[in-house]
Amino acid sequence: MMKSIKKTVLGLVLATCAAFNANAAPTFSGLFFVEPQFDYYTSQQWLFGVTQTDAKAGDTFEYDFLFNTPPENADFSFLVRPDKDYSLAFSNVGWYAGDLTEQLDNLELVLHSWVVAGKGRVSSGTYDLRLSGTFLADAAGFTGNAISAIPEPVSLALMGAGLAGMIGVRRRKVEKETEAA
Amino acid sequence: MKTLTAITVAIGVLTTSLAYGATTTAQVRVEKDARVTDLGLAPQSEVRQITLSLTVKNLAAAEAHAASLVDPTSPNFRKFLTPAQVGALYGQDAASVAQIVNFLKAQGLTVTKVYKNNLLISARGTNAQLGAVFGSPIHTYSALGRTYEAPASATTLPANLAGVVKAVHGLNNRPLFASNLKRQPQTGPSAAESKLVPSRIPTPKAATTTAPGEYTVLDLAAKYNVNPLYAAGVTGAGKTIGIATLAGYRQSDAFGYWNALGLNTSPSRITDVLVDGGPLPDDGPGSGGAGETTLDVQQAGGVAPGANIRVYLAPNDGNGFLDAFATAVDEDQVDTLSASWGSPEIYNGSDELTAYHLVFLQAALQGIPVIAASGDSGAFDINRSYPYPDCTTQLTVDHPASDTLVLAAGGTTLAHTQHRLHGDVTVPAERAWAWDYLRNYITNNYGQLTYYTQYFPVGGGGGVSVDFNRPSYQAGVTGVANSAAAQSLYCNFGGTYQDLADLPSGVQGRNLPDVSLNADPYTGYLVYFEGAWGAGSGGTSFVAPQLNGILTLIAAGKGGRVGLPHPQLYGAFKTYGYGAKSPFRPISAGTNLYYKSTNTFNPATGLGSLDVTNLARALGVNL
Repeated sequence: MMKSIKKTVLGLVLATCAAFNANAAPTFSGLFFVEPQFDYYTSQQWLFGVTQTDAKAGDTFEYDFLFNTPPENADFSFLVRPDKDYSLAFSNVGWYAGDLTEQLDNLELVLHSWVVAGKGRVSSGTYDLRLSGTFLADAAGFTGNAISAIPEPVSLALMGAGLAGMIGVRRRKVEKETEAA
Repeated sequence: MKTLTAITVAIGVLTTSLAYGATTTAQVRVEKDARVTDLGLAPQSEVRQITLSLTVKNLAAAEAHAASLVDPTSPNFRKFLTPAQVGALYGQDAASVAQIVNFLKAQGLTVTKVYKNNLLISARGTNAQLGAVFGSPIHTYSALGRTYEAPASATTLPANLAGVVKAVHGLNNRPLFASNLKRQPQTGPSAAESKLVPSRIPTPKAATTTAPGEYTVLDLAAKYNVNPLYAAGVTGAGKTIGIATLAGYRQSDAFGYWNALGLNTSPSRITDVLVDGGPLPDDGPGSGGAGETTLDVQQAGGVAPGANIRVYLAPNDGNGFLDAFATAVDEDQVDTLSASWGSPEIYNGSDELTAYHLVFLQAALQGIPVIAASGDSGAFDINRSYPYPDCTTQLTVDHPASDTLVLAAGGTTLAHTQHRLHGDVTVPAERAWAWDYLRNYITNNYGQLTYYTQYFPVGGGGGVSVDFNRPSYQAGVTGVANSAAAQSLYCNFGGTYQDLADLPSGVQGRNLPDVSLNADPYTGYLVYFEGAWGAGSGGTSFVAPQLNGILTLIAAGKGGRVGLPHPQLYGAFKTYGYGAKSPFRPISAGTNLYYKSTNTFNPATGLGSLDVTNLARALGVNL
């Protein structure tokens, strides 16, 4: 069942399924560019995630999400959670350059099996968030939300507070819509 | 099956390779652009112009020779070479050149020019002949509404040419170069706030306190302390300005501009030189590109009103731009040479960059300073042709300004107040030019997207080359930067993203610009174009010809060519810093959208702006 918050799928060129890889390659993988949403003023948001409808419990995943952060230096943060509690477990998170190979350390990353988060000051660039883990339930998925704010004395604090609130609202909305469906 | 959240878009990955080139630290090219369509075999009987670049003999010695010519401690000091001497020392020998010429003729090509430097040979042939000689059929392509011709596959040099010929230029005639002229926005919801009509028409002997956006070369002279040279009788007389350009113009506009300002100029001062047949039909007088040539001539000739001017007019395709520079240098009739056209550095392969570099090296050996605009897209040069947000931002620099032998002309914004519809915007002091100072005003009144689509990326070009190693004149200079991490160019082509180029981080590359002058259209200039005055123009396109005029004055003042400017400018900076008698004024505010302008060298404004009289004194003019 597709969740109602998952809106526009604009294209899919690279997506792999390697269930029988002897070198423990993830069962599912993919590389996605996440387009920003511009608010009226100076912040940008990114909504991203995957629902792997053909996943079975025990399958593994590794997905890359590309973000082009604002031209200006910005405070960037993201938070990713399973769409349903205990439906999957994150096992690794990486933060790379857009070439997918150069590992970077300009974000402070937090990894738990039930949540992945990061924050820090980023300079203009294209960054890759790599998330790995294991599906604990069939047809599971996760949703992420990222936000950037160009530092200003007042808006910065508001933006940080807004992110936490927004994630909460999003989660509640997802659960509500899922229930309704 | 996988479903994706919101505006998450799967991408096609076209990985790019990083390889070392002859003059490069790490060669990166933009990969195949999905906007390009192959239209099939090009007309086989169509005649095309190409240029072969030959292998230089002992590049390192030639580079050292060029530097020694401006080193007062060297026995070579100011013993500039002639083109024939360059050819004898560093070009191929006559027998090798004759072998190439004979081979080309045997293939049915017409050899149109052998340069005196023995490093370039131009020839002409049909697409069929060129395809046969260089191992690839020539196809027609379309991109962004224009068609062009290019080899359909990789080309190869015939065995008879290998070892002596370095590369062939002009088989691909896609127009790559853009003017660095920028105006206040003429479209979008905020366009009504632009002031493009002058508040008054210039008159001779008028006061120079004109409004921002309506400045002339007289204001430039006052602002950057040029006037003491004029007072000493230094006008550029006896010297010749060179301008390389890719569009036509009307000489009458140039004389109209100078006459309106009351400048005393000779009616026979301009000579037009058509290179490779001159500009393309779409780029003639009155075209968009013609505005560039017009202002180049007006600005350079206005700063040095006593000088003669040679305008090298070439087509904006194939090898036209290279040939414009090469012709000007090989003629050896100009004392300075500037261009305000350019393209992102990473458009070029190492063969192209090397060919240009050798022409600039020849210029340095002959004592001719070459100046180029550093671009008008701030630190994101490539995003003028791959616009954000459909494409990712990517820190990139413009060529030919990124060449280590070219003086890169950067941009500033002068102190001013804009009285806008919803309130004033004030820039309190001269700063690096970028329209980030308008970001709050525009986003608050028109929204973030208006800012990013109408005002971004706009600013003085500058950053770190990933193709040219850091030159010795920038070694140890405080503020010089390495290339940044995470610089990839992804673009959305019809709903699918492609990775066009990943740039290496940490490259110790050439930093640019070298120096900066006012370039912001809001504190910009008047242009007299097609018999009418227009205000609100700017861009580093103005700075390059202004520096050209300034170096022409200095050449006239010292009675000889200036020579390679970089060792002299960076040497003067080490001597004077920003202290008394310094040729440089620090620009310690603003950014070029990424790099901050500071009280040291920086990749936003370089060494800063100029006190031209002090610069003239530092370079040997007695005032």
